[in-house]
Amino acid sequence: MTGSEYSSMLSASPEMAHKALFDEYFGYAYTIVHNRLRGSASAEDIEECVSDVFADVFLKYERGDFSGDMKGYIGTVAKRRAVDRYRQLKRQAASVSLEDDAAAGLRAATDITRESEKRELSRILLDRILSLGEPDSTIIMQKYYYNKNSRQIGTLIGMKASAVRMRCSRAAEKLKTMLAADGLLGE
Amino acid sequence: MDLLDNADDEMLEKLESLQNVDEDMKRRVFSMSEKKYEKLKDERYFTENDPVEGVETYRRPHWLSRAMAAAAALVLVGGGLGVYKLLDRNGRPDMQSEVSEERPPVTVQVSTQTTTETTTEAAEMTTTETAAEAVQSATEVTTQASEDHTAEKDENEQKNENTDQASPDQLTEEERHQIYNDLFGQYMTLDQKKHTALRSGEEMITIYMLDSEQSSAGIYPEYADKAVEHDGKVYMPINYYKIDNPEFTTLAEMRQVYSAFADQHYIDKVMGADVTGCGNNGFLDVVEANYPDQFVEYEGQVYSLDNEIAALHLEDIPELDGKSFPVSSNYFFWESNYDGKFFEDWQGGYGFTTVDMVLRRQDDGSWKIYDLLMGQSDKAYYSAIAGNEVPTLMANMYDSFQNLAN
Repeated sequence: MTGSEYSSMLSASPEMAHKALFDEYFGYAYTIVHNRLRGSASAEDIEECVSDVFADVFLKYERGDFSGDMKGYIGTVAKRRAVDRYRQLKRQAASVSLEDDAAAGLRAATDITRESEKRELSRILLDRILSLGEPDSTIIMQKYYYNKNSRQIGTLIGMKASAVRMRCSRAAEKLKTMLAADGLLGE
Repeated sequence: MDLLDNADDEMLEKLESLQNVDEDMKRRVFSMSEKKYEKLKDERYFTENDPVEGVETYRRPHWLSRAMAAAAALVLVGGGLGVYKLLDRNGRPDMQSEVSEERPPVTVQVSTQTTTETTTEAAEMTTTETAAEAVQSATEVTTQASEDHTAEKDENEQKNENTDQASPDQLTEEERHQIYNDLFGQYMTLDQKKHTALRSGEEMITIYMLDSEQSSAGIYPEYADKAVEHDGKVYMPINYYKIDNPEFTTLAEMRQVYSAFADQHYIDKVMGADVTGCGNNGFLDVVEANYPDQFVEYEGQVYSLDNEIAALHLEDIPELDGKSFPVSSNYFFWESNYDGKFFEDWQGGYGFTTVDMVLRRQDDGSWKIYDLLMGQSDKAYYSAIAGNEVPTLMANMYDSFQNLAN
């Protein structure tokens, strides 16, 4: 979607314009927010944060400024909102310590010397997951990255929970073998 | 999978391709986005320094600034109970007030004219009464009510005998809680009476506060119709409602009554000027330091910015928990959460209340309310704030105090 397309829709019907923009970029914004907050925020917190992103975006475009790359702008707002929400949650949580997963994740992210190594490892991991093919890639991601259970995954991809469990188990074994061959897993 | 956290843009693209959107969740989020957008659109008009691009730049009415000093999570209760004045113009806690208690002379320039008149008769009213003098004049007004209150104060002082002279770190948590409960109880007892009056149009006055010395061009559209241009300047109307409280009639008496449990800082924060000289529907030129505040006096009666709020009895509302946040030898914060609402008529029927109080040790060793903020929300909010490391409503102020203390 371009700025001028959105502008035309907005002048015809703001609600429809919002819906169209939301439909196109929801996945992108959700991916960013979830990626930043996963492990430190609840599913509800993540949904709240994504809704904040779109509220901000709707407001910005309501002012009549359609310049620049929409996707880039939405990505920037999503990253900023996620950081704000992380700080807010960290402040609210009484028991956040350096041992906390989120804090450890943050520490790792700020460790510049390890950043490039981490990036490479994550690229390999994701490529291997993608190489599993569908529906196994989705099952693995939904199970281990989005922390969904077999029933929820089954609803998403139209499979029975028992079938999801079976495919997940086999896909995880396959992934483990591939990662071991890449030297990413220990003996 | 932790390897995938904080992914770069290229990785995010791949992650997005592996995301299966839950349509129910998507509908939920869109609905929330729309609601938040509508709210933001409304709030935009209130936000100072809002970068408005591509359209005409509006500015906020000056007098709105005080009402906007509020925390977001809870609905704050009591217009004058905000944290605004605790911070000085540089955003630091006003801890110097323990050195200087004297209220600066109040200088109010008044133009006496109603909105319907076309000529101006400017007058200048200079009030040089200091806080000490105000209290002194109040002591000369002997009323049964103030005697009763003094008796309550004596009783309270006796109860706190063991905690006098002790700094927060020398007090046990139970003692801090007791001090808080005593002070909050006194505040609420008075507050119940303060707000019981039914307000009507006859008991309301309107003061036109100076908003800008420029023309009204550029003022936020939703306030533009309320703005009145007078003598080349722009004024905005503020309504005050008469208080019907048997404990006091004038501001000086109110100061005296409040001095039993409130620090001079708090009293100065909420109690403002005598606006009699301005007149109902009159124009008031003020500067920040002389702002009329939560309470003003008009023709010998106290008027309040609050209306239509009725307080419930403190003893009817169970306290869920409470904890202290000590910051220095003379100050500590206290936060308590209550399973109920203190204000019966509060819109939305929120049934959970958080009270944040700053307590300051006086020269005589007793403790008084330095600042107070109350918020009401749904009970569900309790789980989100239970165990907070900082006071919920006063987090920024608490940080400022700590920075100053360290």
